[in-house]
Amino acid sequence: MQVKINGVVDEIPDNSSIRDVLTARKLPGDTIIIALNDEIIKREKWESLKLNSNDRLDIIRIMGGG
Amino acid sequence: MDDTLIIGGRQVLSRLFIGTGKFADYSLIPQVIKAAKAQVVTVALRRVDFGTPEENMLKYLPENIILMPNTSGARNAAEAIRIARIAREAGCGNWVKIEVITDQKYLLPDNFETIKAIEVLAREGFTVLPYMSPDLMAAKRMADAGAAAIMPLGAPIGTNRGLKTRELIQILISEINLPIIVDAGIGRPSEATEAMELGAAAVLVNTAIATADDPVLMAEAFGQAVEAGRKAYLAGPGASRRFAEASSPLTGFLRNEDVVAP
Repeated sequence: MQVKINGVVDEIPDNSSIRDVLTARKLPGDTIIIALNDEIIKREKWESLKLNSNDRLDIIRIMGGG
Repeated sequence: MDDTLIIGGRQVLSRLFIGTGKFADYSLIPQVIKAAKAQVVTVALRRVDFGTPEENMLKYLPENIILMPNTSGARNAAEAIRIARIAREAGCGNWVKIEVITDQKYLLPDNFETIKAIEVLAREGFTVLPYMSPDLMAAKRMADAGAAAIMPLGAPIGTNRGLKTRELIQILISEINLPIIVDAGIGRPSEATEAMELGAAAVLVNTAIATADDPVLMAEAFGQAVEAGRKAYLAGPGASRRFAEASSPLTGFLRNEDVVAP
């Protein structure tokens, strides 16, 4: 199915969880913020929450800024 | 003398706010914060770059600071509001520096969109500190919209050019009943002192420290400069005048001539 990850349309397997997406992209989980359709998803839900077609997933981090 | 700075109901112990961009290494940041004795620290939110995932910078920040995420990257009120909400949800607290910019040459903020963002975020309980182009009427609107402080620029971001907007900032300080924090443009500790002597409540410095040869030493210098300027403001400087006025008494000179009896 198609989802938008960080603004880019991507094809991921059906029934993927947020954790599956992060694992596939080798992202360390302790340092990022997840927003699904503009709503922050708490860490505890990353395993259980399955993505739907056309979801917008933002993988965000905090970095240096002025 | 009680000289406590209160913003959004919170006591702010240091009048030097620090930005964390442009540092060659995140490990410098805790040293800079310590040397500057800073308490309020800005950060930015960005999408992860899958090519080069970077370190989590939060682990470099001491526990006792006030985190002030900015909305950099926002081009309008809606984007700024979204970033602010994400930052709060992510555990950054309820302070936010609103920054709405579309001008890429001077990075001058959009005061109109900023006012709209303040209205919404203040209602949602954020402590909102807007970065703005110094303009009295815009600052009044921001105050009415619920801003907790006003952060006019001294010069464009990252230019290290100093208090180019000095006259306008002075007007804000005298007319706006909120802390005025000079944000952007301050390039040297002497300029931070100048802003504080004018009556600014605080200054926010990033580039000038991050791009110094020795950022930690520069942070210390800025900390001292801000304290000096604040004390000078509180002390009330004497009048400046065009012609000399002797500091030593003008009588009883030890001269080789007869003194005329009074």
